[in-house]
Amino acid sequence: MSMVPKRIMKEVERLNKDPVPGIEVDIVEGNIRYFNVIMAGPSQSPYEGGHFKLELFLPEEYPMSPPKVRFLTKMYHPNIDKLGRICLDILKDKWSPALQIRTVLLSIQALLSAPNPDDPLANDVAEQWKTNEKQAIQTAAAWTRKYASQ
Amino acid sequence: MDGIASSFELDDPSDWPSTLPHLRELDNLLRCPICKEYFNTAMVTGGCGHTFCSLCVRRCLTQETKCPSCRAPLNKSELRPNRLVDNLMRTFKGGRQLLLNSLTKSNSTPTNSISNNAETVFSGCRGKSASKEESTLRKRQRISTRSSARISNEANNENPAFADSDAMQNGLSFVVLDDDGDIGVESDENYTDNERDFVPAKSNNKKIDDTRRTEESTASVGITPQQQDTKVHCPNCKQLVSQSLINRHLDRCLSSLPSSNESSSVSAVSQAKKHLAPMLKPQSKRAATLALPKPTKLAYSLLSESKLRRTLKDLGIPPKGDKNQMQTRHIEWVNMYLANEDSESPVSHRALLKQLAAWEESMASNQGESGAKQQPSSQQSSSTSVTDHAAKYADSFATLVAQASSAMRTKDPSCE
Repeated sequence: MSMVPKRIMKEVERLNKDPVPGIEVDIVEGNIRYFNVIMAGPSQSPYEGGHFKLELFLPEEYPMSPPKVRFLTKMYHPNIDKLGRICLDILKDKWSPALQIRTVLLSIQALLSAPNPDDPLANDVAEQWKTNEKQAIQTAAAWTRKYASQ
Repeated sequence: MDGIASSFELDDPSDWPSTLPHLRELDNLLRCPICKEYFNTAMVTGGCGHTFCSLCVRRCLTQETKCPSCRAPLNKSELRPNRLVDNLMRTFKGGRQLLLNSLTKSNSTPTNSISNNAETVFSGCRGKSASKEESTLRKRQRISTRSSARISNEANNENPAFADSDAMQNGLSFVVLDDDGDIGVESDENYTDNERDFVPAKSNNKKIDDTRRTEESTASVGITPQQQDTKVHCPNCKQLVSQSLINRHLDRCLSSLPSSNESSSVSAVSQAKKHLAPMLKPQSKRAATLALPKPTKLAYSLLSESKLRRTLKDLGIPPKGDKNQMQTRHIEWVNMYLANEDSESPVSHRALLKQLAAWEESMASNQGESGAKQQPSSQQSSSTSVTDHAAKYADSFATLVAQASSAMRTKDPSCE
């Protein structure tokens, strides 16, 4: 689809000109579909102060199919597993071509502020989150300091 | 990568200075949420009222029958053209560069210092230079329409209440005028179309398009002024009415019950369109230009490869490739064909076939490009590179083996 690369170019241009606060997006040299992202942890969350690395890949069918996003930094979060995979509906069945890189990253940032242990990907973390939320939040903050402070 | 390089001209809402959020938002609103381009044949969805390009939303609905914006259930049959959005976008796009230029000019002058807040810059620019330029532009459009289509003088000097619809009609005929080049050639078909002008106007959308094209070509060929009397759609009942009679018609039309009138006419049009479309294709047109039969959705899994190939051949699209390729080509063709039918100024089927070929080429190049990128990485894990990898890390493997065996040796005695 000839329109797809143009849309990607536009999105990149837009992200450069008008960056999302707290989110930094870099194109990986030589591949317009592959991005390195650094996301600041949202304030008033256990991830505050952390800088989390993500990778984002736009598959060939994009925007008809969702981008593939994964955390590269270790996370203690009920919806993010050990491999950094993210459980987020818009990255799966709730994807819509009207969404874009910007909205996806904002949604991920929102997921950091509002973990959802009822729809877990990391079961042990979710269990901890449900039984002892205070402890879980402390652990998440400790992990943030350990792995995500630069 | 070729597609990217050739289409590198990027216009974007962020072209507007951040001090003018209104213009940014306006620019953004006139773009399709799917392709981020200005709307190309805007279609509004039935239930939720979102607007997309015809081709974009049709492509989406082929994958999933949900509105791309709100995920409400949506069928292709629920799409309706949104001409006002098309016209808004066209007007905005027409004045965009002028407005941008005048903005940058006024921003660079020292008198307009940065201390001006957004509001004053906004109103100042619009009030002075921009609106003047816009109005001259509109005037120019109006002149060009008048000279070629000869809109009567009363129509332009109407009372202010009609100024808007007047401008809209002008924009409409203006755009029709810069259609593709096929029109001049189809002169022998004009007469058949003109004859069909006397058929009640409501009968068919397709026909309305034809008559519009005819008007255009008669205007360019230069037939008697009587025939040049421009027909316009009534904004209320969608009926095709002569421009000089439109006001009288509107009075009558608006005084009667609008809702029942509208819905019945719309359904009648779509019904008639379905039944009459193949019959109304004139023979002469088929001979003069390439008119291809309307494609319909197929149950691909029930079709054998040879049968699909025959169908493609009958439809006039290239029947090459394997079943999968033919299937994707057919899906795209259906979407393109219907999107073209939605369009106010449809292109010829020959041009459409070219677009299909271009689309397929870009798809192939995309695949080739990503294939070229992905294959090496996938091959790295396969047989040939395994040996390379082994050779490269032979030293580290050796040290690891040594470490492991030494660890084993130290462990073993303690265990025993």
